[in-house]
Amino acid sequence: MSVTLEHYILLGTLLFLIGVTGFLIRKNIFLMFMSVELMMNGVNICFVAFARYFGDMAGQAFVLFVMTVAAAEAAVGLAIILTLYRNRDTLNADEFNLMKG
Amino acid sequence: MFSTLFFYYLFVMILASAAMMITRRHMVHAVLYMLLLFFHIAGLYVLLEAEFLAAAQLIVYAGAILVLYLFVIMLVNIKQLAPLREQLFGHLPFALVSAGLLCVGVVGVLLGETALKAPSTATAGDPMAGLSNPELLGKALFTTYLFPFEVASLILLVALVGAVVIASRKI
Repeated sequence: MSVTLEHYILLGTLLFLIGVTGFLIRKNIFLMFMSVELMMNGVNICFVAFARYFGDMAGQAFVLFVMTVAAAEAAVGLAIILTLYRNRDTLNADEFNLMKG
Repeated sequence: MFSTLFFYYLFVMILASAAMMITRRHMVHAVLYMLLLFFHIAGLYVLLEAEFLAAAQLIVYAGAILVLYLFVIMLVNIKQLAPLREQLFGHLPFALVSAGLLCVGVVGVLLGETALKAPSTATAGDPMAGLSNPELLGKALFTTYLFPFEVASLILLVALVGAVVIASRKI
């Protein structure tokens, strides 16, 4: 049984779904952040699989840009988390309720 | 056959480590499962003939982003880290087995064939034929995607300045 494009898409989708699940069920703001990285990696797998399947470099170039954005997001997001922790002394996302949303 | 087995190994390991990651109570454990995940995704990129991206995955994600996560986790909750030391070596056999399987898989794929066969589009007179993956990606980045490439550098600059400003200011 050979591995087809659908197998890679399935893997990427499942990884994305695990990321969504982690983002929704966890209250720790760190783990929510890491779940977003998980989602990005699921999308990246699909991109690379498509790039290989169609013999086109566009998918791989896009993955490189996604990695750039992920790195920028991690730097800014972790700085925000650090500031939040200094102010509120907690990492629980439910306790960041100053805006009563 | 070998690449099919390697794909299913990666499939199981990626999903299992992702599931373990989102269910861990201890943040450092979650980050270590994420490291396992990133290594296996890099193996998947090797399987898909994206060697440059496999290297970038290890350098950017595993090398830079995860270390940043670990730094911040250790900055914010250092009190939880005390009981970690005794539990760490219980995972050693599992770590050795998965590292060994990943190593065997990547070496086997680099020596042999890949799993997903692209429809053959290359013709005899194609100037792109015979180029390695980093060369092809570099050609695409510096011709077709030159403008997004420059924008990416601007994003990194903004993130650099933003992170310093946000983390240093007293709010």
